[in-house]
Amino acid sequence: MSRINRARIVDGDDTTAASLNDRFDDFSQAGALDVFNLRDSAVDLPQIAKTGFQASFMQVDTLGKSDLLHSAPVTASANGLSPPATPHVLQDGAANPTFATYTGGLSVGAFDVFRVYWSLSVAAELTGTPWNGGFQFNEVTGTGAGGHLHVSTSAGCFVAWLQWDITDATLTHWTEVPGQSDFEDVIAGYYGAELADCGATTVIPLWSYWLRNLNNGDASAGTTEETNAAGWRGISGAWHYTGSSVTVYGLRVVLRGVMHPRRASAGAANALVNDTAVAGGVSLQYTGGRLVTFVHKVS
Amino acid sequence: MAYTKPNTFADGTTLVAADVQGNVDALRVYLHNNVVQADLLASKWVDTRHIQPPTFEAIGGLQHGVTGYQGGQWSGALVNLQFVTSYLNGAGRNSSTSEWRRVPNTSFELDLRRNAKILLHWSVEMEGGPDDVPQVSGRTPAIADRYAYVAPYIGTLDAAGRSPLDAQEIKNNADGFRSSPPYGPSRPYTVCNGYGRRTGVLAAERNAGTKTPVGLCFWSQIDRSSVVNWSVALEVWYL
Repeated sequence: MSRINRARIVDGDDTTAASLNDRFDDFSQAGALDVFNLRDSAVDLPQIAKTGFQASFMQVDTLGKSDLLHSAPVTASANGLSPPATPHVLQDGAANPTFATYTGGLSVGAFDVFRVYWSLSVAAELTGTPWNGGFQFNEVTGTGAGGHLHVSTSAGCFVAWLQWDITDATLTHWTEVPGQSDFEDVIAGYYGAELADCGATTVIPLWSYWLRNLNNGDASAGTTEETNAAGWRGISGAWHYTGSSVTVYGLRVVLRGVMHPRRASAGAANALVNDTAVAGGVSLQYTGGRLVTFVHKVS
Repeated sequence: MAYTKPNTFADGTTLVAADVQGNVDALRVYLHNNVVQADLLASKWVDTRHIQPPTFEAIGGLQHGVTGYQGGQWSGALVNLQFVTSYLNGAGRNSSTSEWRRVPNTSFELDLRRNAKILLHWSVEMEGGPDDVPQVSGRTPAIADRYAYVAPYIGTLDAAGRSPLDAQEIKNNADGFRSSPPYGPSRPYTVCNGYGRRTGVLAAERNAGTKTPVGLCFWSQIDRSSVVNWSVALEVWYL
């Protein structure tokens, strides 16, 4: 087998069908893959000087406020308005939003995957009895001395989700990333999102509730309610994008609460909707975390 | 099968860019996926010196020298616990910036063949406490304010390799032990109270030619917390 070494086409050359066909038929010959045509032109780590063409981009940004011991955390209030107020953008404790920006825009090609990982430390701050308000509880019918009882579902939560700006570097056109709702879809009269539209959402539980001394499922006189606000803990989220080419100028995490599972009607899709009735008794505190952006080729 | 161009050109017909590109794309697919033995020259034409030899580390579960996913491990279940404890951090009273220790068995050593982008995916599932040792002012936090922090590291455990921004907390099961039946922790280990799974990703760039330790470390204010499950998965991108 000969070495495939065909000269490039230059001005003045005739481009004929035969010459064009030959350029491809070169590789149809038996044994074409040999020392000249494959080994010496093959690619392995020692032969490649260039870096960054496979994993083209990686960036790490700070979210929130660096405060490991929670000495002065940032607070995100729950929403009490319908339609809801704009979501809370993570900030550094001095009212400066924290998010990722990409100088000149980050180009994500059709054969790239745009991967996002983030983390944050959070804790619930409760006043009063929010687990016993809005639609945060089920009523359990008892026959004992305790009578009926409101048993919290412990499903009240904040949600955190991703927004990006793919318009320009002014960072004034934030939108939800693909697969993610803004949690302002109307579902049975409440504002929220069906679970299928929560592709970039992290759910943050707020409290746990249990009963002590429950007598065979009956709330008797000795039954006591116990509730514990969710203490400090790390949360995280992950999301990726592939598809049409896009230029990303900014990426951020936003918060809203208090949400609770609900659906429009029997058989309808499950959803998370905003329970505004308990907003006064709930807020979410947070400190710091990371936002990692990574781009690499998949084809 | 050998490469066969999908489009053949003929004199007198319009040359369409899509046909040329189609042939190029087919060649790319062929070279990436469809080369068979008959297409290769029968006599020997590649020696080991032409290929960078990766190394597989069976115990560590890593394949060094490849670009992309290199491997990782997980361990766990209630019969195979690891523990982290404030007793290794000066009873939790010393500086949270310097008293970090490795979580047992979660460290790996990366053999970096060239400058690399590293992604360390990690998770732990822990029970914190209950630690109801009375508070000593200036030495230990209040019982309800004790946490065990877990953070990933690349390189060293100091600020160069580990950041408090990557640390995630597990709360002490705050009320300690009950003194009357039913005995045991006063509060149940729920997701909000002393028990939880934490996951994260640490990203960093490091230079070639170094044996780089990576893994999980902790700083704890709780006398002991059990690591029920943990996992580490590593991506090292050279190109």
